[in-house]
Amino acid sequence: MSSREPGQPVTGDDESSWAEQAREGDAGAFERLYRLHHGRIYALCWRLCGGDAALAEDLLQEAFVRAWNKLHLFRGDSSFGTWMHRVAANVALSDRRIRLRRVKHETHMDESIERTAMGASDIGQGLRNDLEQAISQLPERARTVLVLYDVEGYQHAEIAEMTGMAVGSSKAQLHRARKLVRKALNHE
Amino acid sequence: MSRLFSNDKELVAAIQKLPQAINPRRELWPGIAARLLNGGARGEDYRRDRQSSKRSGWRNQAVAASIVIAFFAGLMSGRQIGTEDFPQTKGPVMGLAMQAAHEASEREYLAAFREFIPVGAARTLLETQAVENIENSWADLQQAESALLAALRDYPENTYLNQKLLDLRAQQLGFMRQLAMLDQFSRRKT
Repeated sequence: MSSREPGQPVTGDDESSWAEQAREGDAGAFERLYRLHHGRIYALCWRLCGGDAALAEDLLQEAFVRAWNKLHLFRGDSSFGTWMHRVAANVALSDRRIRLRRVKHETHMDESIERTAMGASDIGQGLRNDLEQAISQLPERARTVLVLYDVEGYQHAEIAEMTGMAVGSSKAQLHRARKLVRKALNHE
Repeated sequence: MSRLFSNDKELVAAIQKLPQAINPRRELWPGIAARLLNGGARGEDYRRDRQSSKRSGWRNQAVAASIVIAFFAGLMSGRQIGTEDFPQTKGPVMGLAMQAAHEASEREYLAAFREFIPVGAARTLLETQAVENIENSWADLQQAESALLAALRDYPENTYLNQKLLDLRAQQLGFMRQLAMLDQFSRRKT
Protein backbone atom coordinates (compact mmCIF):
# COMPACT_ATOMS: atom_id res chain seq x y z
CA MET A 1 0.00 0.00 0.00
CA SER A 2 1.02 3.56 -0.57
CA SER A 3 2.69 5.52 2.18
CA ARG A 4 1.33 8.80 0.87
CA GLU A 5 -0.69 11.03 3.13
CA PRO A 6 -4.25 11.68 1.98
CA GLY A 7 -4.43 14.81 -0.13
CA GLN A 8 -0.73 14.81 -0.86
CA PRO A 9 -0.04 15.58 -4.52
CA VAL A 10 0.84 12.62 -6.69
CA THR A 11 4.38 12.75 -7.99
CA GLY A 12 6.00 11.11 -10.98
CA ASP A 13 7.75 8.77 -8.57
CA ASP A 14 4.42 7.70 -7.11
CA GLU A 15 3.11 7.01 -10.57
CA SER A 16 6.18 5.01 -11.56
CA SER A 17 6.03 3.05 -8.35
CA TRP A 18 2.35 2.25 -8.82
CA ALA A 19 2.96 1.21 -12.40
CA GLU A 20 5.70 -1.12 -11.25
CA GLN A 21 3.47 -2.62 -8.57
CA ALA A 22 0.61 -2.98 -11.02
CA ARG A 23 2.88 -4.74 -13.47
CA GLU A 24 3.56 -7.27 -10.73
CA GLY A 25 -0.16 -7.87 -10.34
CA ASP A 26 -1.11 -5.37 -7.64
CA ALA A 27 -4.65 -4.35 -8.52
CA GLY A 28 -4.69 -1.77 -5.75
CA ALA A 29 -1.81 0.06 -7.39
CA PHE A 30 -3.59 -0.12 -10.71
CA GLU A 31 -6.69 1.36 -9.10
CA ARG A 32 -4.60 4.31 -7.93
CA LEU A 33 -3.39 4.79 -11.48
CA TYR A 34 -6.98 4.63 -12.65
CA ARG A 35 -8.03 7.27 -10.13
CA LEU A 36 -5.19 9.46 -11.29
CA HIS A 37 -5.93 9.25 -15.00
CA HIS A 38 -9.54 8.26 -15.54
CA GLY A 39 -10.81 11.80 -16.03
CA ARG A 40 -8.38 12.52 -18.80
CA ILE A 41 -8.96 9.17 -20.45
CA TYR A 42 -12.71 9.58 -20.23
CA ALA A 43 -12.51 13.04 -21.80
CA LEU A 44 -10.50 11.61 -24.68
CA CYS A 45 -12.94 8.75 -25.26
CA TRP A 46 -15.97 10.98 -24.86
CA ARG A 47 -14.73 13.46 -27.46
CA LEU A 48 -13.53 10.82 -29.88
CA CYS A 49 -16.92 9.15 -29.90
CA GLY A 50 -18.80 12.39 -30.39
CA GLY A 51 -20.17 12.92 -26.89
CA ASP A 52 -21.77 9.50 -26.50
CA ALA A 53 -21.36 9.02 -22.75
CA ALA A 54 -22.36 5.35 -22.67
CA LEU A 55 -19.92 4.47 -25.40
CA ALA A 56 -17.21 6.54 -23.75
CA GLU A 57 -17.72 4.60 -20.53
CA ASP A 58 -17.37 1.32 -22.38
CA LEU A 59 -14.22 2.54 -24.07
CA LEU A 60 -12.70 3.74 -20.84
CA GLN A 61 -13.29 0.38 -19.18
CA GLU A 62 -11.95 -1.47 -22.17
CA ALA A 63 -8.90 0.76 -22.26
CA PHE A 64 -7.99 0.09 -18.64
CA VAL A 65 -8.56 -3.64 -18.99
CA ARG A 66 -6.40 -3.61 -22.12
CA ALA A 67 -3.72 -1.63 -20.29
CA TRP A 68 -3.74 -4.10 -17.40
CA ASN A 69 -3.26 -6.97 -19.81
CA LYS A 70 -0.46 -5.16 -21.59
CA LEU A 71 1.36 -3.78 -18.58
CA HIS A 72 4.30 -6.05 -19.29
CA LEU A 73 4.87 -3.97 -22.42
CA PHE A 74 5.09 -0.73 -20.44
CA ARG A 75 8.81 -0.08 -20.08
CA GLY A 76 8.68 3.27 -18.37
CA ASP A 77 10.21 5.17 -21.28
CA SER A 78 7.34 7.63 -20.95
CA SER A 79 5.06 8.25 -18.00
CA PHE A 80 2.30 5.77 -17.35
CA GLY A 81 -0.22 8.52 -18.13
CA THR A 82 1.24 9.06 -21.58
CA TRP A 83 1.31 5.34 -22.29
CA MET A 84 -2.22 4.89 -20.96
CA HIS A 85 -3.46 7.76 -23.08
CA ARG A 86 -2.08 6.09 -26.17
CA VAL A 87 -3.64 2.76 -25.24
CA ALA A 88 -7.01 4.46 -24.78
CA ALA A 89 -6.76 6.31 -28.06
CA ASN A 90 -5.99 3.09 -29.88
CA VAL A 91 -8.89 1.33 -28.18
CA ALA A 92 -11.26 4.15 -29.10
CA LEU A 93 -10.06 4.38 -32.67
CA SER A 94 -10.21 0.67 -33.33
CA ASP A 95 -13.61 0.42 -31.71
CA ARG A 96 -14.97 3.26 -33.75
CA ARG A 97 -13.69 1.70 -36.93
CA ILE A 98 -15.69 -1.41 -36.15
CA ARG A 99 -18.76 0.52 -35.20
CA LEU A 100 -18.66 2.71 -38.24
CA ARG A 101 -19.07 -0.30 -40.46
CA ARG A 102 -22.35 -1.13 -38.77
CA VAL A 103 -23.73 2.15 -37.52
CA LYS A 104 -24.23 5.00 -39.90
CA HIS A 105 -26.42 7.28 -37.84
CA GLU A 106 -25.05 10.33 -36.15
CA THR A 107 -24.51 10.24 -32.45
CA HIS A 108 -25.60 13.14 -30.37
CA MET A 109 -23.78 14.64 -27.52
CA ASP A 110 -25.28 13.45 -24.27
CA GLU A 111 -26.61 15.64 -21.55
CA SER A 112 -24.91 18.82 -20.49
CA ILE A 113 -21.39 18.28 -19.30
CA GLU A 114 -21.42 21.26 -17.00
CA ARG A 115 -21.28 19.16 -13.86
CA THR A 116 -18.78 16.68 -15.15
CA ALA A 117 -15.72 18.76 -15.83
CA MET A 118 -12.90 18.09 -13.41
CA GLY A 119 -11.00 21.05 -12.10
CA ALA A 120 -11.21 24.64 -13.14
CA SER A 121 -11.64 25.61 -16.73
CA ASP A 122 -10.74 29.07 -17.95
CA ILE A 123 -13.30 29.05 -20.69
CA GLY A 124 -16.87 30.24 -20.27
CA GLN A 125 -19.51 27.56 -19.87
CA GLY A 126 -21.59 28.76 -22.81
CA LEU A 127 -18.65 28.84 -25.17
CA ARG A 128 -17.43 25.54 -23.88
CA ASN A 129 -20.78 23.85 -24.51
CA ASP A 130 -20.97 25.34 -27.99
CA LEU A 131 -17.46 24.20 -28.80
CA GLU A 132 -18.04 20.70 -27.49
CA GLN A 133 -21.29 20.48 -29.43
CA ALA A 134 -19.64 21.67 -32.64
CA ILE A 135 -16.79 19.18 -32.22
CA SER A 136 -19.20 16.33 -31.52
CA GLN A 137 -21.06 17.05 -34.74
CA LEU A 138 -17.96 16.88 -36.93
CA PRO A 139 -17.56 14.00 -39.37
CA GLU A 140 -15.66 11.13 -37.77
CA ARG A 141 -12.27 11.59 -39.37
CA ALA A 142 -12.26 15.34 -38.96
CA ARG A 143 -13.29 15.03 -35.34
CA THR A 144 -10.64 12.42 -34.66
CA VAL A 145 -7.85 14.59 -35.99
CA LEU A 146 -9.08 17.75 -34.31
CA VAL A 147 -9.41 16.02 -30.94
CA LEU A 148 -6.03 14.32 -31.17
CA TYR A 149 -4.17 17.35 -32.54
CA ASP A 150 -5.79 20.43 -31.02
CA VAL A 151 -7.11 19.03 -27.77
CA GLU A 152 -4.66 16.25 -26.95
CA GLY A 153 -1.50 17.57 -28.57
CA TYR A 154 -0.53 14.67 -30.81
CA GLN A 155 1.53 15.37 -33.92
CA HIS A 156 0.30 14.61 -37.42
CA ALA A 157 2.79 11.76 -37.80
CA GLU A 158 1.47 10.15 -34.63
CA ILE A 159 -2.11 10.64 -35.71
CA ALA A 160 -1.32 9.12 -39.08
CA GLU A 161 0.17 6.09 -37.37
CA MET A 162 -2.77 5.71 -35.01
CA THR A 163 -5.49 6.17 -37.58
CA GLY A 164 -3.91 4.63 -40.64
CA MET A 165 -4.36 7.78 -42.70
CA ALA A 166 -1.56 9.63 -44.47
CA VAL A 167 0.08 12.61 -42.80
CA GLY A 168 -1.26 14.85 -45.55
CA SER A 169 -4.76 13.55 -44.94
CA SER A 170 -4.42 14.28 -41.26
CA LYS A 171 -3.48 17.87 -42.04
CA ALA A 172 -6.32 18.21 -44.51
CA GLN A 173 -8.82 16.79 -42.03
CA LEU A 174 -7.62 19.21 -39.36
CA HIS A 175 -8.09 22.16 -41.70
CA ARG A 176 -11.53 20.90 -42.61
CA ALA A 177 -12.47 20.30 -38.97
CA ARG A 178 -11.47 23.78 -37.84
CA LYS A 179 -13.35 25.32 -40.71
CA LEU A 180 -16.48 23.35 -39.89
CA VAL A 181 -16.29 24.23 -36.20
CA ARG A 182 -15.91 27.91 -36.95
CA LYS A 183 -18.77 27.73 -39.39
CA ALA A 184 -20.99 25.97 -36.87
CA LEU A 185 -20.23 28.52 -34.18
CA ASN A 186 -20.64 31.49 -36.46
CA HIS A 187 -24.08 30.29 -37.48
CA GLU A 188 -25.39 30.03 -33.92
CA MET B 1 -23.79 32.39 -26.46
CA SER B 2 -20.97 31.50 -28.69
CA ARG B 3 -18.43 33.95 -29.86
CA LEU B 4 -17.18 34.36 -33.38
CA PHE B 5 -13.73 33.14 -34.30
CA SER B 6 -12.28 35.09 -37.15
CA ASN B 7 -9.35 32.74 -37.62
CA ASP B 8 -8.01 29.32 -36.67
CA LYS B 9 -5.63 30.75 -34.12
CA GLU B 10 -8.47 32.07 -31.97
CA LEU B 11 -10.37 28.85 -32.37
CA VAL B 12 -7.39 26.70 -31.38
CA ALA B 13 -6.76 28.91 -28.38
CA ALA B 14 -10.35 28.32 -27.25
CA ILE B 15 -10.19 24.59 -27.92
CA GLN B 16 -7.05 24.31 -25.84
CA LYS B 17 -8.91 25.81 -22.92
CA LEU B 18 -11.44 22.99 -22.92
CA PRO B 19 -11.15 20.82 -19.80
CA GLN B 20 -8.60 18.06 -20.15
CA ALA B 21 -10.46 15.82 -17.76
CA ILE B 22 -14.13 14.99 -17.46
CA ASN B 23 -15.79 12.88 -14.82
CA PRO B 24 -17.75 9.88 -16.07
CA ARG B 25 -21.41 9.84 -15.09
CA ARG B 26 -20.92 6.87 -12.83
CA GLU B 27 -18.26 4.94 -10.97
CA LEU B 28 -16.57 2.71 -13.51
CA TRP B 29 -13.80 1.14 -11.48
CA PRO B 30 -15.84 -1.78 -10.03
CA GLY B 31 -16.59 -3.02 -13.53
CA ILE B 32 -12.94 -2.77 -14.49
CA ALA B 33 -11.84 -4.48 -11.28
CA ALA B 34 -14.23 -7.34 -11.81
CA ARG B 35 -12.90 -7.86 -15.31
CA LEU B 36 -9.23 -7.62 -14.57
CA LEU B 37 -9.21 -9.61 -11.35
CA ASN B 38 -11.72 -12.24 -12.23
CA GLY B 39 -13.20 -11.96 -15.65
CA GLY B 40 -10.26 -10.49 -17.52
CA ALA B 41 -9.11 -13.89 -18.63
CA ARG B 42 -12.53 -15.43 -18.44
CA GLY B 43 -13.28 -15.15 -22.11
CA GLU B 44 -10.03 -16.81 -23.02
CA ASP B 45 -10.39 -19.45 -20.33
CA TYR B 46 -13.88 -20.22 -21.42
CA ARG B 47 -12.91 -20.55 -25.06
CA ARG B 48 -9.92 -22.66 -24.05
CA ASP B 49 -12.16 -24.83 -21.92
CA ARG B 50 -14.52 -25.33 -24.81
CA GLN B 51 -11.75 -26.14 -27.27
CA SER B 52 -10.07 -28.44 -24.80
CA SER B 53 -13.34 -30.24 -24.20
CA LYS B 54 -13.78 -30.77 -27.91
CA ARG B 55 -10.26 -32.06 -28.32
CA SER B 56 -10.12 -34.36 -25.34
CA GLY B 57 -12.40 -37.02 -26.59
CA TRP B 58 -15.35 -36.05 -24.50
CA ARG B 59 -17.65 -38.28 -26.43
CA ASN B 60 -16.12 -41.16 -24.52
CA GLN B 61 -16.39 -39.37 -21.21
CA ALA B 62 -19.82 -37.90 -21.61
CA VAL B 63 -21.80 -40.68 -20.07
CA ALA B 64 -19.49 -40.95 -17.09
CA ALA B 65 -19.48 -37.22 -16.65
CA SER B 66 -23.22 -37.14 -16.48
CA ILE B 67 -23.11 -39.57 -13.62
CA VAL B 68 -20.43 -37.58 -11.89
CA ILE B 69 -22.47 -34.44 -12.18
CA ALA B 70 -25.36 -36.24 -10.58
CA PHE B 71 -22.98 -37.41 -7.90
CA PHE B 72 -21.67 -33.96 -7.21
CA ALA B 73 -25.12 -32.47 -7.34
CA GLY B 74 -26.17 -34.88 -4.64
CA LEU B 75 -23.00 -34.22 -2.71
CA MET B 76 -23.27 -30.48 -2.87
CA SER B 77 -27.01 -29.95 -2.75
CA GLY B 78 -26.89 -30.39 0.99
CA ARG B 79 -24.35 -27.65 1.26
CA GLN B 80 -25.67 -24.19 1.86
CA ILE B 81 -23.74 -21.74 -0.17
CA GLY B 82 -24.43 -18.23 0.87
CA THR B 83 -22.70 -15.03 1.54
CA GLU B 84 -21.57 -16.34 4.90
CA ASP B 85 -19.30 -18.73 3.04
CA PHE B 86 -17.69 -15.90 1.27
CA PRO B 87 -15.20 -13.80 3.14
CA GLN B 88 -16.46 -10.33 3.76
CA THR B 89 -14.04 -7.84 2.40
CA LYS B 90 -13.94 -4.63 4.28
CA GLY B 91 -11.60 -1.97 5.41
CA PRO B 92 -9.52 0.49 3.50
CA VAL B 93 -6.81 -1.99 2.60
CA MET B 94 -9.10 -4.24 0.60
CA GLY B 95 -10.48 -1.35 -1.33
CA LEU B 96 -13.36 -1.07 -3.67
CA ALA B 97 -11.68 -3.02 -6.42
CA MET B 98 -11.27 -6.31 -4.61
CA GLN B 99 -14.66 -6.04 -2.97
CA ALA B 100 -16.37 -5.51 -6.30
CA ALA B 101 -14.43 -8.35 -7.82
CA HIS B 102 -15.46 -10.65 -4.98
CA GLU B 103 -19.09 -9.68 -5.33
CA ALA B 104 -19.05 -10.29 -9.07
CA SER B 105 -17.23 -13.59 -8.58
CA GLU B 106 -19.66 -14.70 -5.94
CA ARG B 107 -22.69 -13.88 -8.08
CA GLU B 108 -21.29 -15.81 -11.00
CA TYR B 109 -20.26 -18.73 -8.87
CA LEU B 110 -23.66 -19.02 -7.22
CA ALA B 111 -25.49 -18.66 -10.53
CA ALA B 112 -23.36 -21.38 -12.09
CA PHE B 113 -23.85 -23.59 -9.09
CA ARG B 114 -27.63 -23.24 -9.30
CA GLU B 115 -27.47 -24.35 -12.92
CA PHE B 116 -25.06 -27.10 -12.02
CA ILE B 117 -27.53 -28.94 -9.78
CA PRO B 118 -30.43 -29.19 -12.28
CA VAL B 119 -27.99 -30.28 -14.96
CA GLY B 120 -26.86 -33.09 -12.71
CA ALA B 121 -30.26 -34.78 -12.72
CA ALA B 122 -29.29 -37.21 -15.48
CA ARG B 123 -28.27 -40.69 -14.45
CA THR B 124 -26.64 -43.11 -16.82
CA LEU B 125 -23.82 -45.64 -16.68
CA LEU B 126 -20.84 -45.06 -14.47
CA GLU B 127 -17.28 -45.41 -15.61
CA THR B 128 -15.15 -45.75 -12.53
CA GLN B 129 -11.87 -44.30 -13.72
CA ALA B 130 -13.45 -41.18 -15.20
CA VAL B 131 -15.46 -40.64 -12.06
CA GLU B 132 -12.40 -40.94 -9.90
CA ASN B 133 -10.50 -38.44 -12.01
CA ILE B 134 -13.24 -35.88 -11.84
CA GLU B 135 -13.87 -36.53 -8.16
CA ASN B 136 -10.21 -36.00 -7.39
CA SER B 137 -10.08 -32.78 -9.38
CA TRP B 138 -13.10 -31.41 -7.62
CA ALA B 139 -11.83 -32.54 -4.25
CA ASP B 140 -8.59 -30.66 -4.88
CA LEU B 141 -10.52 -27.51 -5.69
CA GLN B 142 -12.67 -27.92 -2.59
CA GLN B 143 -9.64 -28.52 -0.43
CA ALA B 144 -7.98 -25.39 -1.78
CA GLU B 145 -11.17 -23.45 -1.15
CA SER B 146 -11.38 -24.62 2.46
CA ALA B 147 -7.77 -23.72 3.08
CA LEU B 148 -8.17 -20.28 1.53
CA LEU B 149 -11.36 -19.53 3.43
CA ALA B 150 -9.71 -20.60 6.67
CA ALA B 151 -6.74 -18.36 5.98
CA LEU B 152 -9.00 -15.47 5.04
CA ARG B 153 -10.84 -15.75 8.33
CA ASP B 154 -7.54 -14.88 9.99
CA TYR B 155 -6.38 -12.39 7.38
CA PRO B 156 -9.54 -11.05 5.72
CA GLU B 157 -7.76 -8.13 4.08
CA ASN B 158 -4.85 -10.00 2.64
CA THR B 159 -4.72 -9.06 -1.03
CA TYR B 160 -2.82 -12.14 -2.12
CA LEU B 161 -5.26 -14.53 -0.46
CA ASN B 162 -8.25 -12.69 -1.84
CA GLN B 163 -6.84 -12.78 -5.32
CA LYS B 164 -6.12 -16.48 -4.97
CA LEU B 165 -9.72 -17.05 -3.98
CA LEU B 166 -10.87 -15.20 -7.08
CA ASP B 167 -8.61 -17.40 -9.19
CA LEU B 168 -10.00 -20.48 -7.51
CA ARG B 169 -13.58 -19.36 -8.17
CA ALA B 170 -12.69 -19.04 -11.83
CA GLN B 171 -11.29 -22.58 -11.83
CA GLN B 172 -14.40 -23.93 -10.13
CA LEU B 173 -16.58 -22.18 -12.68
CA GLY B 174 -14.55 -23.64 -15.51
CA PHE B 175 -14.84 -27.07 -13.97
CA MET B 176 -18.61 -26.80 -13.62
CA ARG B 177 -18.97 -25.49 -17.14
CA GLN B 178 -17.01 -28.39 -18.56
CA LEU B 179 -19.09 -30.90 -16.70
CA ALA B 180 -22.30 -29.18 -17.72
CA MET B 181 -21.23 -29.26 -21.36
CA LEU B 182 -20.37 -32.93 -21.10
CA ASP B 183 -23.68 -33.62 -19.48
CA GLN B 184 -25.62 -31.78 -22.18
CA PHE B 185 -23.75 -33.68 -24.83
CA SER B 186 -24.50 -36.93 -23.06
CA ARG B 187 -28.20 -36.09 -23.02
CA ARG B 188 -28.21 -35.39 -26.72
CA LYS B 189 -26.59 -38.76 -27.37
CA THR B 190 -28.99 -40.74 -25.16
